[in-house]
Amino acid sequence: MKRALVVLAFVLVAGGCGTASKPGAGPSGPAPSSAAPSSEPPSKPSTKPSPEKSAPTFGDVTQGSTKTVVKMYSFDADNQSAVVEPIDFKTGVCAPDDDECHAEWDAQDSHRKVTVPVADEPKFFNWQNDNGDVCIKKPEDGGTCPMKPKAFATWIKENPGEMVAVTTDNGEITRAALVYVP
Amino acid sequence: MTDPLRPGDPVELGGYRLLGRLGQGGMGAVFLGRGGDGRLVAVKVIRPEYASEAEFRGRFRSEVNRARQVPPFCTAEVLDADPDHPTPYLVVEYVDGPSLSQVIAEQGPLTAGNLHSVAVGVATALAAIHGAGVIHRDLKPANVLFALGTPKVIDFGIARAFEVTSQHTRTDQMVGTVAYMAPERFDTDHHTPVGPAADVFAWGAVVAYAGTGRTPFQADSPAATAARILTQPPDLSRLPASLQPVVARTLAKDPRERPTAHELLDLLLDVDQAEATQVMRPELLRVAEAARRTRPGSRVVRRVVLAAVAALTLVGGGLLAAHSVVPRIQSALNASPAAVQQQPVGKPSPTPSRKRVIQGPSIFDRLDRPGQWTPTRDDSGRCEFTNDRLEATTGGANWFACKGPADIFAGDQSVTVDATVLTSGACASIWFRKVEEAGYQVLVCAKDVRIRLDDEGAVSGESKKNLPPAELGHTRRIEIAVQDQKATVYVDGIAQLSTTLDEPSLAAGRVEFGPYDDIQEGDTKVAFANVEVLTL
Repeated sequence: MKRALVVLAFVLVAGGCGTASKPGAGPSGPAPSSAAPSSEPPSKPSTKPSPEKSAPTFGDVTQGSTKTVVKMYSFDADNQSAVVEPIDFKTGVCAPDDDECHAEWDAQDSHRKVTVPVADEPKFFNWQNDNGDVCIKKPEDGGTCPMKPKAFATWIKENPGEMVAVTTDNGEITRAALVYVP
Repeated sequence: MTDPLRPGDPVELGGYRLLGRLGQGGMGAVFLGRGGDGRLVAVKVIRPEYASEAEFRGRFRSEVNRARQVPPFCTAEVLDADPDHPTPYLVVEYVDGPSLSQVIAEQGPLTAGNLHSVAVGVATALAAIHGAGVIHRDLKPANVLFALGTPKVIDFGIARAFEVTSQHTRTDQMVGTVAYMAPERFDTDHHTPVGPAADVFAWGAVVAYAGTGRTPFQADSPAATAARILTQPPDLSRLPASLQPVVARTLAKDPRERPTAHELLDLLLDVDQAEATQVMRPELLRVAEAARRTRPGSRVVRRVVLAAVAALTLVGGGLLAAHSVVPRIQSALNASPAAVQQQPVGKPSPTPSRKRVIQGPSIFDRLDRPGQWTPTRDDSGRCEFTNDRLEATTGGANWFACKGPADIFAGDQSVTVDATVLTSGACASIWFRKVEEAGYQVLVCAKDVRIRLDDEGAVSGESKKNLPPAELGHTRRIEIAVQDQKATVYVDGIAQLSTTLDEPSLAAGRVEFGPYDDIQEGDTKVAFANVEVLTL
């Protein structure tokens, strides 16, 4: 039940879209069984404006404190370092009158790769736990199930360039959470 | 088939070395190219008359962005593009094999088993394309290629950029080939939006052609063909009976009566599962099944199919392996392992190719720890992170290059870095536009700064400027600004040198750092910190 509620909440946040996409290749096991079946129709258009009408904005992870979504290309626990590319991640991207738009999320690349220090004891999170329970509040925040540093490092090594929600404090990554997209 | 480059053709574009001509289309010329990682690619260079239009560039950029979301799954992957380049270009996976139109022209219609496999493969590609919110708009036999026996659909999504550029597209020049155009595409009075259903219609026409050697509305002229598309039922009489009902549904006049790409896959895989399994390799069946579980919308679609795609790729033979259609395909199936490696069918693109769709790449690294640059050590020298910077030392050679990012920078750019000379006779070497062992080199020495062309150790065109005296260990902020093929070197904000970058083979390349031993005394040391590379 908990899993179903979380998924429902996530689907609502993501624009009320049912999806057949099963994150079966996700970091820790099969997709939530409560994901919408594949026979469901394409997602309903969001009421938000098309992303093409607004310039993308990218978080500055090189200084100060911020919370943003990045593509993470490498993570080096020993040297406390990560190579990331900030992106502009949005959900609910289809304009109401755009019948050709079926996207449930959109990500604009910044094409800027930055090496960022990692704090002494950063927290890592996944969007599902070992039991397959989904733990997502907002897509752009990434998952909320705790993840071991070694598992996170392995995931990035095997999936370079995947999206990660990062929190930085004083120019250092203090939280990194895998982003699940519907 | 690859033709030689013609006089006036570029030999390099955006870091891709152009090797020959693959063809000429409405959008421009298509070249066979090789990327910095050695991978063969197809580089589509846009015609100059399109390139001059801001409207076209914007549309091109938007469509390429969408096309890059398509899983590399029975589709030729879009690897790179630069809409803002003086000569806009698009880089896609190179598919080394004949097109469906070539196969039919040379060998005649496909057998029932092979036809079913092609039908499933192209439907799978459409499901992947539509799943990413993209519409192909120009699906035809020439856009279905066979790589290692696997059909791959090419040129999806890009046609729209040309279609809406009204200045170049009149009603008699619609993008697409008439025989595969859905009825709604001829409706210019009502401006009916062309949706995914038009691709499904084209699928039906392609499968009918592949199975019979004739398009289903074939007539003596394009106008007559269009008239038949609008008013007559398709001729499917020579199509295998098992496919007739499905193809007939896809060729419905009303787009609302056609199945979606996913429904089409359902029809193909479910109507006669036993038959489908019999005629298709299990690997293709698995990826087709995976594709029909996907629905429009997300990059997760990519993840879901990648494992299945990988399985198909590893098999290498693909769907036609067990049912060789023509010798050319069979020849491709028998390709050597090396050749197989050169064609990473279905493999996601390497990250270096994901760079310039919206703007050029940029890099920032404090160089205080391993990141984009990594520790390097061999007999020639070493690079290590010490004292919150990258310290580099020569060893058995008079120069050394630290291992850094493979990103390629083209056009106007700037390279800014703190450079420190730590030992007598040492110079901090900054290469830019470096390709293999050739590149432009800026040397920051204790008493002067230089810029020159370094071609595998052969130096030419050196300019030199003395600097104010400074002690060893003094850090200087160096900036190399490249604009309109002119490079200017700034030291602590003051322009010192400039030179013209006129080596055609070095229009783009990597940025590298390392030590240079100016007086051959051995073990010279320099340091670098706070590097920023920008595409301007």
